[in-house]
Amino acid sequence: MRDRRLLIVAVALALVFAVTWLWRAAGDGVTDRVEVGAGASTTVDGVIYRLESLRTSDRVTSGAADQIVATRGATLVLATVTYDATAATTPVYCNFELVAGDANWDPEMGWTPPEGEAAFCDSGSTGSVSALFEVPQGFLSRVQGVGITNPDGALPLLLGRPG
Amino acid sequence: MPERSTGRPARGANALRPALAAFGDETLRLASATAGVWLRLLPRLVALTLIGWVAYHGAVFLGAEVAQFSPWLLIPALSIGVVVRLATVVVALRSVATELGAPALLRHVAPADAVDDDRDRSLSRLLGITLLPFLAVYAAFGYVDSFARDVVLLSTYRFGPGELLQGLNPLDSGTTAAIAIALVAVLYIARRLLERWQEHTGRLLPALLAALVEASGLFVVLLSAFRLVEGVQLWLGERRVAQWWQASLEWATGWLHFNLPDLVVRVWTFLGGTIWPVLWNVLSQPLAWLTLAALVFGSRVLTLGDVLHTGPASGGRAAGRAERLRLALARAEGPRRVLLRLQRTFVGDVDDKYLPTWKSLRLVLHAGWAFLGAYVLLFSLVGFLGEWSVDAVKTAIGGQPVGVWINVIPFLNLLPDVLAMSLQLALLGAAFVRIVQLRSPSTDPPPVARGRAARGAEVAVVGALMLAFVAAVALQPNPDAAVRTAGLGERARYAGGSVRVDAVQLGTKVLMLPSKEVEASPVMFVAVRATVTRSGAAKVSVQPRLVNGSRAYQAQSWGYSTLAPEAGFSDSADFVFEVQPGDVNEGLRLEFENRQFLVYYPDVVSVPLGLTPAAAAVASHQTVVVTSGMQKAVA
Repeated sequence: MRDRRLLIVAVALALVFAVTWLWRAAGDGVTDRVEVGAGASTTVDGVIYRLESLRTSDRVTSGAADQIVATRGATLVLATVTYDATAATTPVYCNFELVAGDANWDPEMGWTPPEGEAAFCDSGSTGSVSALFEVPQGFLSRVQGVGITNPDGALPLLLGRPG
Repeated sequence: MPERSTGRPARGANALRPALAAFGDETLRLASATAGVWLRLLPRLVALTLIGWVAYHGAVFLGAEVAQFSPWLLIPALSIGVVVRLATVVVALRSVATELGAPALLRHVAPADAVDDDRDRSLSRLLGITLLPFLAVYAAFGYVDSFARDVVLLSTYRFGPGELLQGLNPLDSGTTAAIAIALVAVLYIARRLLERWQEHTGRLLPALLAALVEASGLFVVLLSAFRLVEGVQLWLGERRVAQWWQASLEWATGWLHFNLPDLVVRVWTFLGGTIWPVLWNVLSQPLAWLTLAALVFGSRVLTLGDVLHTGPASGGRAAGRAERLRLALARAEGPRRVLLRLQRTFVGDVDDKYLPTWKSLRLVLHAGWAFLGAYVLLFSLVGFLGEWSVDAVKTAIGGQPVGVWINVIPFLNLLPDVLAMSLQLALLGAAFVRIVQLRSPSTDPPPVARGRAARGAEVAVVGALMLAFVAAVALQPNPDAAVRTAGLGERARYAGGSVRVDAVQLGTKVLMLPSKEVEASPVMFVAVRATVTRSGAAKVSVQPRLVNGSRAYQAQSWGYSTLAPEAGFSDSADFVFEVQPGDVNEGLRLEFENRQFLVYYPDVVSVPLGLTPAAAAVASHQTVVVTSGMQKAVA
């Protein structure tokens, strides 16, 4: 009888541990993102961001007049974000990623924005920056928006559908 | 089983048969006693080992989580885990001993001057007496290290490399160094005071606290203070004295026709890296556990003469040393008195922790070769069955990213930690009872005065069986990775995506396109076109390497060295390797492995390149043509 009670206690303890462990494990690898509604703005490290547009295309012309053509089966997505870094006291980088659930894509390296837009932000300035992404067409419908890379905390996700 | 009298000692080859029979008899006896007590106590043993499992993994989990607030917080978290786990082992061993009638048997065989402490009277008294020496041996044999190792692994995986260890590194900041040194000193003094309290009151609380404090001190050393020793070693290595030492060594060994320091390093590496792990697994570990068990089961088999520090009647070296210290301390004054007091504290500490264990080990080693061989074989067999069952499950699951394994490992460990461990605890009880029986004149006829040949035969039989067992263990495949072999042009599943090798070229020159740059090699170039596909979100970063036997080649810088496609894409590139012509044969293959900071049983795809020495000879004047860019396609 005592043994059975001990076994029940041990199994209960093991179950509590297993549930706690699995609950914690479920959070592994899941990026903690703060969603910002379409058209709304958010502040990260003193910089205000707002997603202006997410435009899709098979080919785009960069500021350097290069034609960038999408890989067969993929689509180019051009994200334009306005920023206000006048209150920023530390260097600002404006690093973005395109997000679709757990998947994300980095900006294309060869992209230079057209006249009037920048690829990077500057502390103390305002304006708009653009980043070009290439996404397999199979993932396009799952794209949620543009994530702001923020090493100091939760990652804001500026919601927006490519169109 | 002791050899029965036949009138004269066995001789020569005739002695082998009784030795074999004795070994077989002991093995069967132990196996049946173990199975019996394991089945009778199954619920209790499973419950206790399950609590021990929760204590281990719960402490590692809690340690990694609380270390986010302060790395020092993981010290008490791990200490609680160690003490709870040890307590479950002690309680389980006591249960087995009681079930097998060990207390009555011990009273029966106890010598007239046997030490009779009150460990059998209550569980708390038993824990109070045994926890500290138990912990000392548990740590000496490296079991505590695994707590520290696993918490560092979990913390590195969850919160990034360096965070935890950096926070505990005394060489990084003076404050950390001061904390580490102060903790070691304060914990040591606290433990000695708690021990004294426990000796006076006999209560469980100070014993538990002493074990907790001792475990905390061990973790402070294992996770932090050890770096101070490393720092001193590094500092010494940069002094002139180190150069003098090196020069003296070179001068002293200059007349030798071989490099002595190199030989020492090689021998040490061989002993430490090859011999010791096997010896530890197969021989030392079972004996260490039986020693611990003897510590728990009771001291009545030890006489006052055995337990040197319990009274002046012993006259042994340690007792003499303690007595000399006591007398000298009574006469001493001033600084000498302080020094002697420190010496007595240290000697007392060593005696308290290790002397009972040393006595237990002597008791175990006097049990005879046949018994020891049978016990070591069965203990190792059960332990390896636990490990092999884990390997079998790992193989069935297949290679996975380290994150999957880190989350699965506690559940895999249920097999060795609960199933195998409960069996081993039952075996320890059965083995201890057998040791006591072997000391008892009434349970078996007394062993005959055996001749050298009989003893030699026993040693030979047990030695041969152990060697065979060690060989069987050593020959087991070591599944560090789930290796899958694929042919050229064949797409192989890999880490949630796939890999493929399309083309192999061989030559002594490389022509790079589109730059048309040419590179020549005095040896040989092997170029392969590899494609890595990432179907889903799971990140894949592959650094293919060329392998032949124990030799591995990394891709040269003018070709690609890593492929890390984005989600939903395939990346293809030419990889160029510069290899020894002797390695260009049927054994040459390309291996894909996901390069991560932490790796545990990953997916590895191995592609034999189908090259022959004849192909190498033909290609000695050929030029390999490769493209410098990386080609991207939708998966």
